Amino acid sequence: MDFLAPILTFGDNVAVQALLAFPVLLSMVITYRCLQVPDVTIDGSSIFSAAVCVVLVRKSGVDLSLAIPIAVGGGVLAGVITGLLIEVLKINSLLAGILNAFVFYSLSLLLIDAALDFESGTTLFSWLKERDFQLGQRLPAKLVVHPYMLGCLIATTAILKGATDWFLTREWGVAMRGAGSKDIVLQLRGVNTRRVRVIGFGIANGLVGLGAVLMSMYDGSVQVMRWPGTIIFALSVSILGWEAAKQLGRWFKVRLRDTTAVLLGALLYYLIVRVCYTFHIPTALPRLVIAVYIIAVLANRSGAWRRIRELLT
Amino acid sequence: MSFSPDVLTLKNVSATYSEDSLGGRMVLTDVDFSLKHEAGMAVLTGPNGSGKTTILRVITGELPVASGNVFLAGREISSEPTHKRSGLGCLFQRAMDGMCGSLTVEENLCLMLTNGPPSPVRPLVCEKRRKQLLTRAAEIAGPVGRQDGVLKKLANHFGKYPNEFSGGEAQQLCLLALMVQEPGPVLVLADEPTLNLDKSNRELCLEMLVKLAKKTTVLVATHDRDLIGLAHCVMKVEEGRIAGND
Repeated sequence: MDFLAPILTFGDNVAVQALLAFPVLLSMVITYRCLQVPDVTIDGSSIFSAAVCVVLVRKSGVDLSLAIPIAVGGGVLAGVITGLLIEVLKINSLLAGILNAFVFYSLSLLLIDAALDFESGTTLFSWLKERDFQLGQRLPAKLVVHPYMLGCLIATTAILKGATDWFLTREWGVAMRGAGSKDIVLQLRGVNTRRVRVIGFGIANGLVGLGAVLMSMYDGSVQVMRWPGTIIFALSVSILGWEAAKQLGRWFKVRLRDTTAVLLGALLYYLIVRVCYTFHIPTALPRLVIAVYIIAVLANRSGAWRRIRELLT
Repeated sequence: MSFSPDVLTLKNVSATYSEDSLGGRMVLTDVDFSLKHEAGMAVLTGPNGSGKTTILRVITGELPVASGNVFLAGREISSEPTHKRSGLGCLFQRAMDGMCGSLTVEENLCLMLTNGPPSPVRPLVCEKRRKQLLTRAAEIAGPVGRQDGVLKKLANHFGKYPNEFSGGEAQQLCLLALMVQEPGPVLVLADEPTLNLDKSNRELCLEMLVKLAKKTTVLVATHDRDLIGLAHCVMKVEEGRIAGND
């Protein structure tokens, strides 16, 4: 069965990376899809949550079961502040996100300077690894990722996806889905759209915080330089997923949920990255290809080819 | 028709867009009227830019009053935010503005059936609301609908999005949403609801508006002579004032 080893290694690498990124991508469903704001705050809230978690665990000796919720709360706080900047102070949504990302990025630098490692045995994944129960020996090939770790990530993803799908069909969730466009329609039905948006930003950044904490624990350290550009990554992967889901919908006559689409986007993205890595293609190339692909898709949708022809004739 | 005083009262209402725009000039000055009928159609008419739509925006709370008072069913609402002004329904010039583009038709219609603040656990689309919509749509489509009207076989359209409909079809759906509410709105504000509609859809919407006006008070801002002809009360708006009424 050893011939399965490279395939499994390849597969679980892609799966784990995609599952780790899923909470961050889920935030795009709320901010970009529902509230129709590309929320730049996530560049700051991601590192802030990870920094809070590592500081609590390393410096204060707080248990993970408490440190993770506090770190996620840090993300929620960042999102709520962005929401208030937009809704109360009436600052442009993009600018509010940028400003608040700066604030939380600076706070993170104050907390951990450049980088801080989790001590060995203090992350969720190392805790899972210790509880082997000889499960690894019964598997056909040695996996890069421990099966408990993979199982934990799959369970987290399933819970988050299920909860988000459930929430977005409730009266509150539907109001959030509508709150990006028609205020007056919702307000006349008794919906406080300002409050809905502020809470939406909070939930989205809480999810980003959770994703950042999981990724950092998987890496074993929190590195400040890893997180700037999270919004670009999240947006491009999400759009890749939505476009792929649309194409699949046309082929198989199904309508995939936005939450399924972002997971699909993450799997595709990490698959491309992994293929490039395997064949020693420069790692910058897949990002370049994906960016060009998304530009082409968006251009096609907005009828850019006709305008280009008009420009040339 | 039963009569009850003051479904809507505007007392010396003045409004301005902002101190910067129009040099701080008032766009409404001492607008003073009340609608006493419990059901019926009142019309605001007048030249473009006279302030008809602005009066509707003051009532919904989109534009704050600079001075004066607005009462809805005897309750002062001048300083309340729009989401607290329960009992209002709206129809817009662009019918699409009456629906959320990111929600399906079914979700949009079910949203209109909610009462009070949204619940975080109650599903928006449920069998009860779906049935309520389909029954009422069939009742309306029977006498006034056309064979190919959007209200016929409404269930076939539930999964579609508002931008998949023509303006006339979207207006019919908005009217259905107002007619199906229990309890219905105290007051429906309609801003040029028949503008830009083709003949067939316009006739259908007019019939539905008349039906709606039998159940509740409808205040329409319009130039449409047919609508003016159907009204129980016509108020002329000129330069931000009520210049007279019939």
